[in-house]
Amino acid sequence: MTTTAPALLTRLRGPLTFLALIAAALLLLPLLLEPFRLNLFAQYLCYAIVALGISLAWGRGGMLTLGHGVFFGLGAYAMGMHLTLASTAADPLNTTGLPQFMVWSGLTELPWFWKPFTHPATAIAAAVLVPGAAAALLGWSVFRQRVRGAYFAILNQALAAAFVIFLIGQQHLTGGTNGLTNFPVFAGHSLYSPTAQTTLYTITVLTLAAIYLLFRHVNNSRYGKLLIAIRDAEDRVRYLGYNPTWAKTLAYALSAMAAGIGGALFVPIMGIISPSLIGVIPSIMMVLAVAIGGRYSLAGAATGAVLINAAETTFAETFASGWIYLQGALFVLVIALAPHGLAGLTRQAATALTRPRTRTTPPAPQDTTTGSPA
Amino acid sequence: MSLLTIDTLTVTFGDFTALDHVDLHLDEGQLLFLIGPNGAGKTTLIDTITGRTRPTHGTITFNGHTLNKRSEHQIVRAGIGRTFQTSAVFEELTVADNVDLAASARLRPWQLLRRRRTLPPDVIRHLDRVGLTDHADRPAATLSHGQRQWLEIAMLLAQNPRLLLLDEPVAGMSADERTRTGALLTEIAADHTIIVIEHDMDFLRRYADQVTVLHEGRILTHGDVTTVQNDPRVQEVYLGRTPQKATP
Repeated sequence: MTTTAPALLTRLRGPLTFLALIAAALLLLPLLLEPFRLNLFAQYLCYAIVALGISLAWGRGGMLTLGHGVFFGLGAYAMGMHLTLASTAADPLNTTGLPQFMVWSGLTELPWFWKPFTHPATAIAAAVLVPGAAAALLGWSVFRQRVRGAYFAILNQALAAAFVIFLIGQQHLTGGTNGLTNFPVFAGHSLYSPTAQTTLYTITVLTLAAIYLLFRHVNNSRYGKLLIAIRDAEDRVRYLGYNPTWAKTLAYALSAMAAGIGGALFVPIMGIISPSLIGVIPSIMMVLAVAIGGRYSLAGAATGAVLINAAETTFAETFASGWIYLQGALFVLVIALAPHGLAGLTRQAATALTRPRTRTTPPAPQDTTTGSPA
Repeated sequence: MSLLTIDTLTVTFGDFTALDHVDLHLDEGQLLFLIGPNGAGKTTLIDTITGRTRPTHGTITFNGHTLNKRSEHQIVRAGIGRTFQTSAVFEELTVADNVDLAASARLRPWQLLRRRRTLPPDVIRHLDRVGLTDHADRPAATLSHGQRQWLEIAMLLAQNPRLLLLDEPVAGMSADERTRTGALLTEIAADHTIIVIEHDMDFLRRYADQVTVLHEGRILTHGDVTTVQNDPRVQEVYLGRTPQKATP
């Protein structure tokens, strides 16, 4: 038997890795990366927050959410609307008190649903609650009818398409194809200063860490196991006395809320939100990144989102047209060779390395557990 | 008053009549074996009681409540549990988690969201009862066929039902496993009401007291094992006129 010291180390390895990663992200990266790169990295982390949500809904709950761009977009637009109003109010040349695009569309008064967004707190609350409520409503009505699998995925795609059509069609309300952009201030602070960008980055890192811990707790609870059971045999779960509808709706809503938070953080960092960032294709890309990172593992999904987005930037800088083929090839390879993604490969490698010393212990842990953050 | 009352139950699938005016009464504490040739409607009957299949006609009353329009999970919560012919355990979860999940169905959602640190005593007791304590921490996927059936029984017991429906619990089991399952069944029957679907005549002779025979969706006869076995109608439809070939 091992002594208590190594056992304690093994038990602390997860939390220590987690803390080390946060410390490195918060203290080291702002020093190492120039502001432009740090800003890009913060954007990747926003997608990592979305990826955590997709991992919960898809990896855990088996709901292929091919429309997460919608929830990301709802959060992003909530924040974008506030930032637009804030920049309008701060603009000394604007006498109408209306955003530019509304003036050009001939509006004379602020639409009713824009009004609450003058206050930042409303915008932040809406960025979390509107996606959550939308997903809960959609989930409840769909799961109750026992719609699942490909039908659910197609429904999500349709939702993403419809949302984009609405945004583009209602230009006087939403800014249309151009979206919302030009955000110099948030709550009285300039967003263009390096300090503001570092602060946004810090908030994003901490938010990502908090949502990771929350979802990890959810996965490890009985409810997390119930989700696995529903994913693998939904009908059997009914005969245990559970109603799968509420369980799936909750996971879907939590997942949408994470996407909304990711979207809300993304807007002040990126400086723009437009339909092209949240439509059908971006929605698929979000799921792709999770598939490549490993959908059964929260850490894998988040890592996948960062890696894929980083790779996209890197390749787009050198040869732009090649990226789309490489991404397609990567997806095919992962599905064919490593269905559990990078997280699965890492685990396999770790198991292979430690096997000689742990021959007497039971077989490798299941890939569905979240494990330690890595 | 009987625990389960089935009154003129009819189930049709298109032109096919799976159950034809079935009447059945079950008292608290009874152990009833349900037999019949393939396609007799045994599984359809259990499916209809548990809400998987809807009755075309007739009523099912359990403990004073009509079950006809209730959904599967509501029927389970009313106190009826079942196992499946082909075992359906959650392979990725550990054996203990399977039982724990079955035992937790009555918890409120926020209680489910709490992290479980130790196994509840009830779960440990049920695992022990079916002899799976040593396998508690292994994924259910590693269990043999017989062990899976026992896990299903443990999950069923963990639901704390008033009525247990077992669909061919010994199908595909070795002789040794059958004996263990039979002993387990006798033990459970002491304080539960049970309906067992079974094909195996040998198993029936050893463990059955009351037997109901279904044939082409109707109840052919009902009585104790010897009487039913010697009934010429049963021999004709179920045993194919030759009682010697009874055991498949």
